[in-house]
Amino acid sequence: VRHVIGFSGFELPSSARSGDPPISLDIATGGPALLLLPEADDAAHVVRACLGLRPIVGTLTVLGTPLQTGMSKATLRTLRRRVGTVLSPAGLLSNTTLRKNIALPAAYAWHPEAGRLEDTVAALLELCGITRWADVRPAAVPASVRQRAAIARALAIDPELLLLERPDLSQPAEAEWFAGLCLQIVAAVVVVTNSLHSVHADLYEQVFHTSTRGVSRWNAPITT
Amino acid sequence: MPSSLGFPIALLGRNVRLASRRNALRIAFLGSLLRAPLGVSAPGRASARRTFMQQVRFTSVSAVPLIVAVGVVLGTTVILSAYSQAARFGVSELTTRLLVVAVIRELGPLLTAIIVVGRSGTAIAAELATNRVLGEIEALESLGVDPAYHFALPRVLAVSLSVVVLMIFLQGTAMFSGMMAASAVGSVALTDSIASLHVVLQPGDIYVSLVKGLLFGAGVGALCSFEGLTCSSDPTQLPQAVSRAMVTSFVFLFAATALFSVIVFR
Repeated sequence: VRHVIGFSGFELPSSARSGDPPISLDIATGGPALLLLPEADDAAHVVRACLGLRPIVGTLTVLGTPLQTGMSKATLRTLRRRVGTVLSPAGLLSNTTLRKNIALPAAYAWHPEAGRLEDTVAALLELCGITRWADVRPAAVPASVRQRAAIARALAIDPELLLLERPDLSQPAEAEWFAGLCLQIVAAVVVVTNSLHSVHADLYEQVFHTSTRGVSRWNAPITT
Repeated sequence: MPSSLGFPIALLGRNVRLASRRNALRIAFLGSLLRAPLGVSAPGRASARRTFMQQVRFTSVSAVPLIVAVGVVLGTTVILSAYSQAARFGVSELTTRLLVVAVIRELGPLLTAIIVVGRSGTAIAAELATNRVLGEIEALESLGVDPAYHFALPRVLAVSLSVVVLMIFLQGTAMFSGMMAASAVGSVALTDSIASLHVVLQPGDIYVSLVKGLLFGAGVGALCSFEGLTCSSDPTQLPQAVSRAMVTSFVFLFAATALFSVIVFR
């Protein structure tokens, strides 16, 4: 089984306060996975550590690439272009439209033929159900639309892994849409959060939960 | 050593250490700017080109009225003063040469760059620091976009080009308005001033001026982009980033001007 993310002796920011042991777990390819951590800061740290944006204590492997200190920017950039990440907050550029926001990382990640980028963006806008908002700036749309646009932007780079930090899927409509999206995309999906209520845990095939005893795993879907 | 003496020395040492670290980061940032264009795709370059064009429009086109106004004031005051003092001391033949050196070589590039710092450099630092505070830069970085290429490089190039263009406007306006003013008060005829300018203006003056403009613009663009991009995500740091951008740009401009003068007039 290939693992999309592997932790070994990985320390969370909250470990120093709570005394929880470092986490060791492997998230396999397959259905959507949920990693439930004690605090929001832990979720932010894990997602950023997966991209080489934070120093790590322990071992972390993402898509077969071990993260180490002192990795070259080019290597990290290559890894980041294999991982479509949605941070919290989504960080859409406020001075441009959703369409241009979605196209921007794809423009750097790909070498598409002229015109293909626009087609891809149009298809993603359609997939995320936000076509009517395409030419509007982020500040003028609801938070749920901004989140979908951020997911579309992450998918635009054609990633192997879609990594989401603390998404808000608490609304049934958003949860339903996200479940449908997971079925339609090729990329593995990993959600990292500290709040079970905001992510609808029954959407995931793998759920990992950290506690004072280490990492527990629920294989069967659980309900919130 | 008594603690009352040790404290200021320790503080000085700490500040020197912090400043050295910050300068090392600035140099590393320059290196990343030079490496940034390598391997960028055509759509990526097109995206950066749009940022470049927007910055050129804001920094140069919108600033032309201000630059013209400053040029008129500069030319009128400097040239009138120079002509009147030169006549008193009987060195009128040196006046035009002195003006070329003062306006074309020294004041033109420096004043233009100072205006660009106040008008555009601070805006660049504030915009990029806001992008940083809102998490926009980190979000794009997480998707493999190089902030040095997408955010900084187009602005550095645009500011560099804009300083050169605005400097030519300022120098032209200053020289012309100064000669007009001198002619109006009867110090020297406009045709004589122009004829004299033809003789004393050396190609070297123009080259030095252009090199200064390019270097000053690139330095201001890079320093202001650096301060914006390295702002922390704490919103209270935003005004400090803008202030640092302005101060470091001014220090750079005055130091570079002095260095140029030493090299050119040695």
